[in-house]
Amino acid sequence: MTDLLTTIDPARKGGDPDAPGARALLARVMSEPVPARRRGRRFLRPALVAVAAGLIVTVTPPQVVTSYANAAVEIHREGDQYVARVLDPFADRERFTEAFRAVGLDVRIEALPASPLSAGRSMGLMIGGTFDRPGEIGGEFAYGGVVLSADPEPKGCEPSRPGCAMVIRVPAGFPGSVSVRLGRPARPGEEYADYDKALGPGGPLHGVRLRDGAPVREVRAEAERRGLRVTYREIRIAPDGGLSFVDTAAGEKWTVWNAWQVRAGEVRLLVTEQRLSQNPFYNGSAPPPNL
Amino acid sequence: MTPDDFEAVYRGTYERLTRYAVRRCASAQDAADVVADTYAVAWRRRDRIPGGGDAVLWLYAVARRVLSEHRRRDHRHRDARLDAEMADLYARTPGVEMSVIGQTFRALPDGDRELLALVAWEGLGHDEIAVTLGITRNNVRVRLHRARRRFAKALAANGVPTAFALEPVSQADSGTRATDGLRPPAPHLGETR
Repeated sequence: MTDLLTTIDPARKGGDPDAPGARALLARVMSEPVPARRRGRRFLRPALVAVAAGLIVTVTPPQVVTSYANAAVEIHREGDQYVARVLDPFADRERFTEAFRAVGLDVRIEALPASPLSAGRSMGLMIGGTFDRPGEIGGEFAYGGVVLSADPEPKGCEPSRPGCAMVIRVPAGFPGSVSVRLGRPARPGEEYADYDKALGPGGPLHGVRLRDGAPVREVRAEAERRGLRVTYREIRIAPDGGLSFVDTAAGEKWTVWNAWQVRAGEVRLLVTEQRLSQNPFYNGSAPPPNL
Repeated sequence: MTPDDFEAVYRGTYERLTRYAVRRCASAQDAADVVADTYAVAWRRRDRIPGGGDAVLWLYAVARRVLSEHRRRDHRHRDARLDAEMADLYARTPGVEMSVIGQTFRALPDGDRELLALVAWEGLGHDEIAVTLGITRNNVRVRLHRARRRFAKALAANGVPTAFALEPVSQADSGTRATDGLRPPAPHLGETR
């Protein structure tokens, strides 16, 4: 009789763990630090803390503190990591540097011109130095079990909205250097550093599907319909699969495989003269989410 | 459990856990929340995730608690991609005949519905249901029998007769025991009352 129920199964199929949302979920879940175990140590702790505190006073240089705040950023320690809440993403860079230095970290903010999509957001972390305990959690760089991250919190919020802030998390005592590439609104005519956002939500060509390639004629018509200036670069593929790009004047029948936003009102189409068997930007293991 | 092990569990269970959530949530957003929260709990307690095929049963149990808490809580996870992927998993609305069955099914008590769903949709056996719900195998057998009987009665009342419902109740009872066969019936009753 339960076979009657199989006909009304609400789930048509199960989810694909390789879909972008599923991969993002895994990364998000695994980036959550696990609270340290305390079982059975409760009564021992005050003594340990007292001894440790004594050591810190004598060993640690006096200028290192565990929290710091100025007009640009507020930093405090949570367990084995420092959590920095960006109060003003467009404040003087030096304010950030001095705040992180105060808690013993070498973290800098590098402001890059960006489209409105990335203004106030991190466009990636540059991590320098040599480490004895680097690791990876959910595909993200981690040190001592803590993932280095720079994301809006609460998760997925819009940094320009009240209550939403960029939060940078760095493991306490991290010996390397970190450069947070933070988007700032581009000046008129200035090229965007977040050029790869053209096809994503809010991008100038959002909704255009290039996963399987599309004729130049069609994509250009759509871009012009949206009032965009169009330029072209031809994709060159090295024997090892590496891509390079050369300015070109594409023919109507060439194939478009990807699109970048160059600056406000201008997009660049990445094209080949011959149609390829597959999209060179899509290697099968790590699909760019927007294609 | 190392992060790599956890990722293997995630990849090995994601398909079935998303189906579990979709089957129990009216909206894709709710289903996405349940999936996200379930794996978040699993990550925090990853040392307790059993190995092999029991991992998914353990996750079903977590998802079940997450579901019951979810109704009292604000949504926390908002990822448009995950929502869209989840919406894609929903079957289209079934026809009229099916909707009678669906309506009858939805009108059953929660416990009956969950048991029948675990059999019909998750395809679990009695042992696996026992692990998921944290009850004994005998308990599963008896509760499932009662759930089936109530479902059949409700279907018959809505004009969808089934062989199960047409049998007199006493026969249905003895028939079930006969198929179980190997053990004497009386101790079963004793254990479950």
